[in-house]
Amino acid sequence: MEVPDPEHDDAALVELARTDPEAFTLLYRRYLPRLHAFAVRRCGDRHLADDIVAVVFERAWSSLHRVEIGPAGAAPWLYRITANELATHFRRSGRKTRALERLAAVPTAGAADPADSFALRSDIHAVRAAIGRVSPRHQEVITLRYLAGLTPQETADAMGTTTQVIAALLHRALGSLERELERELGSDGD
Amino acid sequence: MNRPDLESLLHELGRLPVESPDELTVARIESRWRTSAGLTGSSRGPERRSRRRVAIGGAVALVAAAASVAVVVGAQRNNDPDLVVDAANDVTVELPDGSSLEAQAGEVLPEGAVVVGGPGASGVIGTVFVRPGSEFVVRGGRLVASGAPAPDDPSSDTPPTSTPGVVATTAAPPSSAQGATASTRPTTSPTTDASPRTTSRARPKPRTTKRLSVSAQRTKPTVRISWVAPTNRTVVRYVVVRARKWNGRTLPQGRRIATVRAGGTLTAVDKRPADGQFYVVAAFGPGNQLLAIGSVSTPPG
Repeated sequence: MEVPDPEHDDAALVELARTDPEAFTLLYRRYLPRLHAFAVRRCGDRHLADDIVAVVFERAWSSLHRVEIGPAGAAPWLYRITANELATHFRRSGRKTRALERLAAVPTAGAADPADSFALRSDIHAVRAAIGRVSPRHQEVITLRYLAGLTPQETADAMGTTTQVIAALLHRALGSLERELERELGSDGD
Repeated sequence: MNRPDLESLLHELGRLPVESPDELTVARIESRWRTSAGLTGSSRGPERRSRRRVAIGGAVALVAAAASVAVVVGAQRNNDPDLVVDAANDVTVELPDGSSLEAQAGEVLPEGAVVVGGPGASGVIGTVFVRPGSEFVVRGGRLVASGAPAPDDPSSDTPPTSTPGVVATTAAPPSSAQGATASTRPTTSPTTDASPRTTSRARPKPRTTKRLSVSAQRTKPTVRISWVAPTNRTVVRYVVVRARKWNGRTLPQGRRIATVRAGGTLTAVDKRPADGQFYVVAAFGPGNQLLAIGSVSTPPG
């Protein structure tokens, strides 16, 4: 019989964590870097990302007894909590956050030329702000697919649906984002 | 911006290099969710590790693998020397410089500080409960019973048996009622809660900075902080700061929530509360001197 190995098997680790908080700490250490990076990319603020991921693991701990870990491991579950927390945060903070985002320093790899870097930074600011104004479900699919870098299957697992639904949802979400982005870029010129 | 450009930009955003959080940040975030989740303390002390006795369906190999990884993680956590007061009532801290003050939530206890439980004491510091009459000293970043040897031996996981009122806070998750094992329950029961102090030391002089009585109420999504004006003090203004920890004496570094003029309503509202943090309220006099200070934990959301 194959013995589950919590060092590599998320399901075994989650099972263990239900009775041993230290096992949950292992899960935290395993996923913190990825979730933190996801949150930083979305909000552009490391301190805010700290707050977000702290809440994510608090919520994960609270829902530990309800979650069922599939073949994709704990990633879909944890990424979904993170995406929801990010969406909740931006919904609550609204335009105030938008203003703060513009002040946040953004790493801009891939743009060697300062002008390109500036343009990329401006676009990223605009995209971040626009994402915050589409519906929570559209935010979720966009951030999971692009900012978290999940595959269509992983995104479907995280959102509890099929890849076909994800494809359709993503199509509509990008349409909404385009419209918001036009509004965002238009308002900059006012 | 057309669809391909937008998708390209989103991919770019997803590839932005992000530095991994350093060990201190990892420990801080861990401490915050642990506090919010009711896993009091940041599990620096080895008390928690010594009670890891989990068996699930006889899967011995599983337990062994988890324990070995946990030990590695535990060893990493020992790098964080901060010992923070999670909650305290009628608990006095005697600082190495001879001053004493009432322990407050969020306060960082320095090495050598002595923690004394008063007659009505109840508090949690790290993984230790402070009970009436108990006395501890901070050694090696953890609380040990006053007079006990320093915990310099990492293999000595068992807390000193003479420690009065010590109990490990290995909380179980909400669902653990059906699956709790002995490992999730404290194996060091709160022995003698009201053991008298056995050491006699010269009592340090109290500080002149008074304690403010501060309370906080959470009304989603905000937190309302209120406090009581100190008596016999000419306060001009109050400053409210949200911080992760503080030294118990001076205004900490943190996010300033409000400046409130004396004479008005002594409340402030934090519109963006963060779990696991503390609100510190400081009262300043006409010469900008600190007259009184107090703190309260962020109420759970």
